Amino acid sequence: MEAQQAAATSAGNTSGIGTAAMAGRPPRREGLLRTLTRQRLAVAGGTIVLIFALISLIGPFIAPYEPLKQDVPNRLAPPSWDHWMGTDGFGRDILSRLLAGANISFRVGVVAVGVAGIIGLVFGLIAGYFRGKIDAMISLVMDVIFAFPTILLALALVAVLGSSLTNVMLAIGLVNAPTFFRVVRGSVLSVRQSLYVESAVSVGTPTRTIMQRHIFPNITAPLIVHASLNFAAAVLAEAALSYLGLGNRPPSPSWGLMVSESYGLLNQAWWATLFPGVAIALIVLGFNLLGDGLRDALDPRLRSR
Amino acid sequence: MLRYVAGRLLLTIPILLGVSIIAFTLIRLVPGDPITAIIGPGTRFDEEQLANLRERYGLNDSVVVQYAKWVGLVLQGDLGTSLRSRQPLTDELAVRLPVTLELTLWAAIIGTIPAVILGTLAALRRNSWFDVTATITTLLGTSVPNFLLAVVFVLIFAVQLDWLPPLGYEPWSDDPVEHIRRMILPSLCLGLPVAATLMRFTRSSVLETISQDYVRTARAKGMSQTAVVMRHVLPNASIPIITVLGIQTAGLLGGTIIIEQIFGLPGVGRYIYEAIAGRDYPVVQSVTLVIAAIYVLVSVVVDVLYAVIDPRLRTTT
Repeated sequence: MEAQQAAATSAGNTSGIGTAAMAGRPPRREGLLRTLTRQRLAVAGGTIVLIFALISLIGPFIAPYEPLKQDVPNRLAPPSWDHWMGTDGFGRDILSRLLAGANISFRVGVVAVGVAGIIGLVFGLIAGYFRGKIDAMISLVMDVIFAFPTILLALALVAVLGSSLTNVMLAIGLVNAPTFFRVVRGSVLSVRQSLYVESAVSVGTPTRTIMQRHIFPNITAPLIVHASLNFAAAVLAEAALSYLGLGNRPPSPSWGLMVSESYGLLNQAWWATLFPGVAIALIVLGFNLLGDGLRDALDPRLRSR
Repeated sequence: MLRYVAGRLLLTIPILLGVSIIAFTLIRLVPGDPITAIIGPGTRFDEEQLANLRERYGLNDSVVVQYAKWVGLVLQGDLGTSLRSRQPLTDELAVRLPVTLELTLWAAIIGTIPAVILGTLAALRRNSWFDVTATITTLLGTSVPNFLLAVVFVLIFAVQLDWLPPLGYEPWSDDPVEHIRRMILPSLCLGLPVAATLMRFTRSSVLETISQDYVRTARAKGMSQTAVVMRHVLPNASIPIITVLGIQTAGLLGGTIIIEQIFGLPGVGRYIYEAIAGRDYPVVQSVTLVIAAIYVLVSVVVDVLYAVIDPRLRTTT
């Protein structure tokens, strides 16, 4: 169990991403081609994320058409100069809907990662610092949540709480909390052993100060890396929930919903399904690449291993 | 070894108890009278009928008693009755579980075998164009949602090329060839993202292993490349690979919800989706428990595999 736990922590990104760095190749042994590729990929990831963040802020203002406005005579129009990505089954401009929908994905990512991060951080700090029975209890609860396939628990939570964007964000955050918990707890456990923490304890530094001044700064790097990778997982989860009809409701321009709404029209209008699908994949790719790059840059242990 | 397996199984009891508490509590989170949630909105009953129904579903008992009764029934193999079909859940699962397990198995095979072979080759030919191409492909593979993969595959293989049927299910007993034809696309959509993830882990794990002294020694002895890889590298690189495969099982089981829905396969994933959408709470409660239990068992199998591969780990529990 221990071995699996440890492995699971290092593979905490259960969506199965961000693993190139797991190899832990020291940079000097790295081939030039690969180093260049990886750095370029990380920069590409960062660029995608920046553009995505920008679009999620200004998207609705630069959209050429009203994202919800139906234009039935013009339905299923293929990509053209008027509609760069074509129109959907209601004649709505797909590009405009994508631009407006970026905001939904971004908000889901931020809130879900925030919720998961805060739960994981607080309980991970407590469990890793105090160890013993408290650790055993919190770890058990987290293991139980972890025992559910993410999408299943999120789906059930949303079904029970009601399908609104807020509930979707909360549900995704909650089900992803155990991965953050494992990352934080693992890091705290190793920092807790270090001499400077022992010294701080022995001179009577209050626990809160130790956590704030000595422990927290040492666990931010893995936390940031995990947050980036988890952002990708959250965007995917929202898309999947919306695709299944339990996330955002029509006519919301949620990307997952756009894919599912147009799926039935696949052989008449591939563009209505493919463009939102590619948009989701692109954002997820961006955060994965960024997370990989951050892992390389921020985690000195991986560099020296 | 038996002791180890038994000990590991005992450890799953608290987890399974916790899982059952969550599955049980979920339904009770529904706002309002649980009986309206059970009979569904829009159905009108007078007070007497409602009281009877409450009695029948044991809702007059305390929550603890209700939970104990449910767990008691589950332990006896009675998972409850679907509200919509009025069928016992065990009957439904007997038909649906094989479909899901078959799909998951194919996906796991697709996700494992090519991934381990290609990941090992990429590591052995590090920094070659093959390696870089493989890295980029796997990055894309881990980012594409499986429902998008389904859309693309249906578009190419069913709509454009007309090689495979786009959706639907054919039982093996009716027509084995058609059965396989209909399982190909769903298995690919479920398995390829796993393959991408596993390939990255295989590559890094093999890289880690080939720099070890014993591998250099083996080469110095004049062992062939294939023998070194098969005898020394792969067995030692397999622990992280198995870990990731174990974790990915959760993704596979969760993924069946989407894939079975898209391809119209009558499995457990689609069943629980329909139950959630149709607010069939007894089904949600018990099937959630069953799926989580399968995943917990898979993690036991993973731990036991560790112990088989690496005898040192038998003592770490």
